[in-house]
Amino acid sequence: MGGWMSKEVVNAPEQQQMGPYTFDQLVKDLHNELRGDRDEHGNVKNEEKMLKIGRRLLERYMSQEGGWRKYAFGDPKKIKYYRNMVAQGKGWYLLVLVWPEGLQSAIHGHSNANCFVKMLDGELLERRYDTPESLVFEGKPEANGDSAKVMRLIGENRYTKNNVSYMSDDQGLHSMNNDSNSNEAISLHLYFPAFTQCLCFDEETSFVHEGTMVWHTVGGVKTEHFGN
Amino acid sequence: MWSRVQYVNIFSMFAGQKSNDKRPEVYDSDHSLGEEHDEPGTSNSYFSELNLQELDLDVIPERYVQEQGLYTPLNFTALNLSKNRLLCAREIRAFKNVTFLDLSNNQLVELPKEISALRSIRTLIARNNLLEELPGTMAALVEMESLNLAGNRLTAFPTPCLNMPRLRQLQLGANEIPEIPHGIGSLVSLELLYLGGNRLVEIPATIGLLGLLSNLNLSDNLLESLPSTVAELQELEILSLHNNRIRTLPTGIVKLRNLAQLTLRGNPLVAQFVSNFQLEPPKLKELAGRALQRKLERWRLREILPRELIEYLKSANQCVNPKCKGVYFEACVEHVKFVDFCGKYRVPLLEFLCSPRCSSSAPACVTSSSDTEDEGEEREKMMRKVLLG
Repeated sequence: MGGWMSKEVVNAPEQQQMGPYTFDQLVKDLHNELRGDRDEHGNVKNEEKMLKIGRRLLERYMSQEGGWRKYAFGDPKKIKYYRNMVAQGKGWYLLVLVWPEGLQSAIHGHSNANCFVKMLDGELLERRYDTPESLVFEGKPEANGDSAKVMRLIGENRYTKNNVSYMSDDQGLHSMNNDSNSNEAISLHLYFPAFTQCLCFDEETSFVHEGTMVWHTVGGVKTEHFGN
Repeated sequence: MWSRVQYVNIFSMFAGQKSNDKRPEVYDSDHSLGEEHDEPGTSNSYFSELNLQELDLDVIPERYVQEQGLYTPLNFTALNLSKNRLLCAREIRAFKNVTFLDLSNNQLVELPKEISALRSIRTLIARNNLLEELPGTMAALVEMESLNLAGNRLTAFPTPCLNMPRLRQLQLGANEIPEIPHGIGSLVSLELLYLGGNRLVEIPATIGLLGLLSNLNLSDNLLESLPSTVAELQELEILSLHNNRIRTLPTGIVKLRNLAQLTLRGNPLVAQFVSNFQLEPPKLKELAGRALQRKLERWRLREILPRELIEYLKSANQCVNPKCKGVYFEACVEHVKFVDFCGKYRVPLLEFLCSPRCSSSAPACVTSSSDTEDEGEEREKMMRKVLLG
């Protein structure tokens, strides 16, 4: 370590007051910095910028108790994963999802939108699938034994606490699975542009149906979907 | 409602506050706190939780166990000791009034037998410890409603649970349990039974007695089949069977009107439509039995046949084809039929048919609606057939 001189570091007063980056600060910064601008056709103009801001803020926040926990409500019956709306801004929204033990989501798309997922607690196993060439809707006459095709798995990722992952339709489709038999998983989802419908695919057949996303709480308050 | 909560947060009492965020009142979904707040109460009643989570404790500090002021143990109805390094928790016996106790994520090799002092306890969470069994004294905790022992080292089903008739949720996931006792059928209040991630090779038929069960998780085990009594679980909404050794399911599953989710991935399910197969033609005794069984009462056979044959006739199984009145004894045809389920799944169901030719359009054995003088001729014909082989 020759030549290394220790320096006395002087901290500015504001730095001394700063503790770890909190969840409430993350939400405040998202409101301030993340704004979706649409052009005259309704398409988002500044998507690249929003992607950078979203990723930077989510990676900065380190999951700790006492912040997101007040939004994390789970299904009392442990049958579904619950979506808890935390905040909505211009062209985006932020959710906390609570996954009961052993629960896997359907294989789904993202409706032409961008989606970041940050793990707050527990783990999720992601399986990524190729998008089928044509959409065959369940219940329609063309959905039969001849058109049924098994979906092609193209990758698997395991996300642990604080990992930030990104998904959009050009990367294919995915399912998320809490494969722990003893722990819940809790994840933070940032979607932009905001969307409430998505396509759900059956792994054995590739048949598709449309799913509607509902919120079970908003700002920590239960909605009519809670407990049903 | 929330204003009545006196939430004693020990967290901020220690040097080096871990978080700038305000501690919330609502904790996690295992918590029964939410339900208690919804109940109206007198102005004198209050509800308070002692939160000792994540404080690097290897014992419960003496000052919280002794009777003194704000921290008198009897004041608390909830105690959270999760995410510490507890090896032993005998001091919890001081907290006699708790209805909620969380000991998750510690290093407990056993729950103290003194836990039976917590007579009012309704929710006990002890996830992710090193428990191998429960102390027998826990059979006294008859108020228990929600018990979570997931992620431990249980090598047998914890029998003190069978003494808890109010149990609504029982979570035993991620242990090493090789079998479930028949006594499980006595836990008739169960709504959630989580057995995923154990070593189960079969499930007792008494599971069918759990009439309120809405969530049954049997995933990540070694099951090859399910008892047909699963069809009696009319409140079942989700049945998790993924990662087992299941080839077919009992037919009755299609009768479960509330079942909206069925997970089957990771099982060696019958992949193709399997036609009936028959290894041996039925014996003469079987054929005679089939012909006679329905006439058992009418012909006063009991008076003329030896007792062994009467028992044999009574052991007849009804052909599952609803349009067929036929019966079978040992020789039946295993027929696998794919059924569309919930409009989403194609599920292989195992049916036992009386004959390879039996189908809903052409049942092998039909009765006429009125059995009158035709019957005399009918039975003569059948008797002749049987006797001639």
